[in-house]
Amino acid sequence: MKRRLPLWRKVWSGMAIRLIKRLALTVIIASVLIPLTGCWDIRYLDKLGVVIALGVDDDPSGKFRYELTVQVVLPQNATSRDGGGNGSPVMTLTEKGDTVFEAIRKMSAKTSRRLFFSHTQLLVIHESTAKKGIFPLMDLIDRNADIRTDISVVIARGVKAAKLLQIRTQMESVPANQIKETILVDQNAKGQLYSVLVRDITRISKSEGQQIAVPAVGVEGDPEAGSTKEIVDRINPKVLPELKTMAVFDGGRLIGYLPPKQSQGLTWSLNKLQNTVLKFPCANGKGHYIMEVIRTDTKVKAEKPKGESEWPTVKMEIRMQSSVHEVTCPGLSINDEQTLLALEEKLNAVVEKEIKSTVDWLMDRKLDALGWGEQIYRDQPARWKQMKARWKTIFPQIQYEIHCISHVESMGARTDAITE
Amino acid sequence: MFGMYMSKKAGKDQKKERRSPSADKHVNEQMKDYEHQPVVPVLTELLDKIKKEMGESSDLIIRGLDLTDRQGKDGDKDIALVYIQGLIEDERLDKFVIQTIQQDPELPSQLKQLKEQVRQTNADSPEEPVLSRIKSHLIAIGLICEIRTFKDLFEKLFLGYALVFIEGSPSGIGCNVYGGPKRSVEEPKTEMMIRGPREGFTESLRVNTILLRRKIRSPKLWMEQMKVGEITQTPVAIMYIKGLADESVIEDLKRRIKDIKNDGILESSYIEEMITDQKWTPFPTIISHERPDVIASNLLDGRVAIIVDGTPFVLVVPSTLNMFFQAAEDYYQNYQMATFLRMLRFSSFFIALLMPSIYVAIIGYHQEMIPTQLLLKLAAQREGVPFPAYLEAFIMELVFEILREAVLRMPSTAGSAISIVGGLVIGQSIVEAGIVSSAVVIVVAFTAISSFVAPIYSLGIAARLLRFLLLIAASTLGFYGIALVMLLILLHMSNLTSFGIPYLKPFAPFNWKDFKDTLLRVPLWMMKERPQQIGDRDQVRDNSAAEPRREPSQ
Repeated sequence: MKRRLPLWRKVWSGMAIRLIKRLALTVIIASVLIPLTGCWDIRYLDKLGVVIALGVDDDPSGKFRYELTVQVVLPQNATSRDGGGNGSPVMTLTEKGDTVFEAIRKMSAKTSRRLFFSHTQLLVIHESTAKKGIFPLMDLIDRNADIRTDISVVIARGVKAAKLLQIRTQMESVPANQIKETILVDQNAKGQLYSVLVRDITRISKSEGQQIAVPAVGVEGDPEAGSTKEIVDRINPKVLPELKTMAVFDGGRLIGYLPPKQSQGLTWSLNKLQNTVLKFPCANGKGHYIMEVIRTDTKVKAEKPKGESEWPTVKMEIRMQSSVHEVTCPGLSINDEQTLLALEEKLNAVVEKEIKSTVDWLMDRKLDALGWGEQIYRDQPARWKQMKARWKTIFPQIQYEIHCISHVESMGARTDAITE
Repeated sequence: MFGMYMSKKAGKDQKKERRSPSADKHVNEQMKDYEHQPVVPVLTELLDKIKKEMGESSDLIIRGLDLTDRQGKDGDKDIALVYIQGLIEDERLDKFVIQTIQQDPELPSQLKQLKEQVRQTNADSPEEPVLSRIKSHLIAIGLICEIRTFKDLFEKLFLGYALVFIEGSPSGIGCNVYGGPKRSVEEPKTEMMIRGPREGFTESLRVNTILLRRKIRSPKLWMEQMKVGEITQTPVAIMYIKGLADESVIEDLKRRIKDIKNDGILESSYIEEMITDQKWTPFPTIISHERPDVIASNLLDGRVAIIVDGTPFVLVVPSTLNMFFQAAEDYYQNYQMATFLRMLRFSSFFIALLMPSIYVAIIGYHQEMIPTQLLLKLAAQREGVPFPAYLEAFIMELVFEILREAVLRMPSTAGSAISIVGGLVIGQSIVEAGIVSSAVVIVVAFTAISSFVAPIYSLGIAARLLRFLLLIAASTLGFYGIALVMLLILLHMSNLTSFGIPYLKPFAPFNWKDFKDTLLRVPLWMMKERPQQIGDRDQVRDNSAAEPRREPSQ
């Protein structure tokens, strides 16, 4: 009978040695791969302080450039199912520094959880800080791979950014969301403001002559009353963040605020407007009627000038679809085409006037917030080269045409006015 | 991956060693020797030998018939019947063998003649009249055979034959009176469906082959039977449609089955494990089914079925990954629904494979990738949980596997206790106590449900194991680790073959024609061709007109 080999001899055959060699090689390769990335990157979710909003003020002591306030979410309070929970949904930390990152790192002396900026939604800048320039604040956000660039930027008007971030809100448990969502609601329903993200600002900062505009937020009520729990227990809140108008900048420095009509005109000219309502006086002077612009599209074109010495003409075409929504004019009955056409014409005239006033307001201040420089650069690049250096002085002289085309789609469920 | 490497190298060396020592001994003692032992014409001698070989087992029944009335001499009989009690049907034996032999008027005189002859010549007579008379006139049984050696004798004895031996005759007769307890054809337990035939395979090989014959009434449905297992001698049949199935696959399969030299085959998984192309893979490369209609459709595709006696699970080769996502019901219901369900199955396989690891990766590394509200919800749940997310996921996966195994193995009467303890105590109180977060419980539960969607259980097993590998990768390397391991799995899978057919066909190698029955289940009238590389010899399956529906004429 054949002698049976012991097990270890069988295993230790040449085949096994080759196999082990190959295995070892693969293990080495695999273990080289692991340290390439690896556990150093692990962040425990419950060890993170999710920063939802940043606020920048001037340092009141004047020692540093900024005073940074971060709004950190406390998840257990912010998401509890029984409405608000027991504690505050957010807390704020404040620290001073010459740059944003310096202040953030100083905060590590006060926080038990590592601050986490990937979900930051809102950047609030106080108006006096904005007057000194907002571009330095954008660098960190744009440069750092961990921070998103879709952070909504607002200017705190008449209130410190820190105070704005310390107001508790009832509708949204996280106050930063309240401000961010309100801007979107306004943009969709009224169009007085439009949302501006960090990446928009960084893009415009390098564009051809365009100036940035940023929505401004103030407060209604007493900002000092905002941070305690009692405020959310009231039906009529003592204090609320309230949207103002668009703030316009010159080279990243705050210049001023557009009036409400012109603010809406800016939204409209930049094609950011989605839906709005306009008020018209009745023909006989008693009462008003309201038209809702349901859809609108703005197209801007720079046309080639006729003469060599002339500048290009900017043509703006606004198409609107609208409907009549509220009529308090006695005896106004919209049941024939003539009336409808009259309404359309009236609408065109009002919109044209509104946008004209916006352009004039901006031209008076030599601020191209409309992006016309960019438009001329795209449509007439050769001409732009000549204009670029002197754009600030040329802009107020630019000829423009505004052309509105509107169509009234519906007049609601009734034709006659109820008002006698 | 190393496995394949090893198996290729090791195959040659190990083949000789495969036989276990005990089987060796047994075979040498028994069947091999019996081949050269002819049946002895002296009845007493023969019966003594059978008794001795079987160790006087009490279920061995020997019934002697003394037809020539030679009373007085003890044990001196003319004819002896040998069978195993319980393995045969008594009624048939009594009626069609014993009764007819006993009542034949001419047999006693012939037996006397034979005895004289034997005494005179002292030699065996090859043209033996008694044997042929019994064979052709007396035994009213369809299937009989001649027994010449002890090998035949024992083989037939345990297959349920009753053996008839005649004093002075050098060979006996085996009559198939197979009977005894067996399960009737029932609805299959593992492959449930709403519409479709309700019959499933049973443990009996013959019943199973009949079920297939009833589905495919063609002379081209060929069957080859062999015995596997040195001690158990289990009958194994392979069935295929001649002309459709690949001859080389059949040859290969027969060779692989013949190479099996182990003690016993108790379930078809023994065969499966012995004949697979790759021995070191978690993925099943041979599919098993319990439904005759599924096997029939596979045969019609040009595949080969392996039926093993003693199990209702029939194997099909070659199998591809795609087949594990097909359920028979796909073809019995609306093709839109079937396509939807196919996609559902594919996606739930990926959910079962990936969901816990994606959860761990997101919680541990990629918090920026999920919506803020979801992040805050998850963070709120994680608040105060003592374990890191990956440990939590490991614990809960393990708990779930324990629960699943417990429910499977315990007597069904205690099943409700398990579900209360498992569902309420572990599921609910562990979350309420804040030991694990409810998100993990949701993830594990959803993963578990998804893993049950796979129509073939064995694929779910692969996903169960790989899930842990992916969990380790996700907890150390995040999405990067998941991507690495998925790449490894993909590489491994594209290396797999089943009887020469690439496992990932028709995805890799890509084959557009075969896509009609993968993620999609196109209408039957569009499935005009049999699968590529399998039913190649006769490509066209459906010859009906492109638009068989016509408006009824007025």
